[in-house]
Amino acid sequence: MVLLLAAGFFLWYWLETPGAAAAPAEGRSPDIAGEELSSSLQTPEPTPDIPVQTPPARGEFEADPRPDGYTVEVKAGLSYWGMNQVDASARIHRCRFQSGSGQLLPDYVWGGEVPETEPVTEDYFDDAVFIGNSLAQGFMLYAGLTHGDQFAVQSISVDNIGSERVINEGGGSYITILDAVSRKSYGKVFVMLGINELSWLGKEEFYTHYAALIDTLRELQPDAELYLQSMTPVSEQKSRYSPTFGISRIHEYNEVIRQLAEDKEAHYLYIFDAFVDDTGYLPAGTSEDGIHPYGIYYAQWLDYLKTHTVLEVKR
Amino acid sequence: MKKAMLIVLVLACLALCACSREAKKADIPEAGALAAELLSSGAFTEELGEIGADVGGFLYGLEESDAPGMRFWCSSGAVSEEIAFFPCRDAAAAEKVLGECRARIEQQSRLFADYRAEEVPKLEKALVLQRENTVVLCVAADAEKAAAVLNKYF
Repeated sequence: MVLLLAAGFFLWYWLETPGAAAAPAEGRSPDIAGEELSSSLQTPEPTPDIPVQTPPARGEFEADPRPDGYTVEVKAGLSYWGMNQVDASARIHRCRFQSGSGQLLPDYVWGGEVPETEPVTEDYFDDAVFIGNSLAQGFMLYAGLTHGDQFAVQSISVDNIGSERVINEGGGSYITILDAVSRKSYGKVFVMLGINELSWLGKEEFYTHYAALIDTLRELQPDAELYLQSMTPVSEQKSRYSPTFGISRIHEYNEVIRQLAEDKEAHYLYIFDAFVDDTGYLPAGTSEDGIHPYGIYYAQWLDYLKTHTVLEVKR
Repeated sequence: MKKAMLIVLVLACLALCACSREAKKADIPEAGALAAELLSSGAFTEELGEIGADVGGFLYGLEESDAPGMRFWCSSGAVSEEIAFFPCRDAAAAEKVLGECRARIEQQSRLFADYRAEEVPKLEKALVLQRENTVVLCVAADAEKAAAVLNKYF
């Protein structure tokens, strides 16, 4: 009888409270669990009636007049040897590459793209640190490189990389990326910045702030070679409907990065090449937002780094 | 005597009810299976990819020893959505992991506020659930769909 009554009570309870087990965020969960907050509907990105910009082929950019009077000689698209021929008056430094033939290349022009070389193994990056923004974070998460250190977080720019506390040390303690870099001596520093700055920094400011960052990195890592990585391409759709991230602006800011590499004697890695398709854009279907490639594509970046290396620099 | 019997009966019923509610929680599936169920629930705007435990632990400020077998699924960087699964070694580790999950959500909310503000509501609805020594974190575009999956187990 008791069991029948109990079973009946149980049946009644079960029928009357069907959603009990499905209630979200129960008591054991932290206070943030299941909290209902009104979501703000985002206004769709404006689609201004702007002409479709055909990206210029590499090496065909107009000279970019600078306020201080000099013009930028665009070298993108030329081979190392070609660049060496056209820019013989630039500062020359001795640099040895591991070229396909094992040939010693006599001269090196800062600001030229690091040329393709025989692939290295990943222990090449043992003494490396990678720093940067969400794209660098994508590399950190998905490229699969387990050598060296990586400090990269979305929203990082040339301005806040030394002030924003984003690196988790555990226990609620966070330090800046530059603080993290300063804790160890590195032989190579790879920098990926620029995409966030497109929204709010003009090219001159970008140059100035990035140059100051390079100076800081030199102070923190006086024995390291600096590698400035170009921005990656955006999709054609992103370029067309979001003028801030237009492919022509990517090229312009990449040219600033290349100029910085030349002026600051850093190595310029044209990562753009690792992702671009035949039309000059990030291929359709390889990214959710037209900027950040899906995880599976970051291996291309690592492959590029492994085949574009500088083995020795004699200053 | 009747009162005593009634009390016993009520207690028995309550005990049975409590048992029945506990029984509704299914066994927590293996991390990969749980992630697959979440990812197929329609709660996410992007196909999340699994990242290495060392990198994931770095993001959360955790060591492998805190939660041996911890696993992570993240977005490409375009959105804040992610899944983290922590089979903690003991109750103390689970408490530590809960704290780091809260810190992770707070940090992400702060960073995305100036970066992609439309991601902040997702983080405000983040699910951080614990059952015994297992902790799961889920930031989804549709928190209700994610909760419908997770509340079967947590």
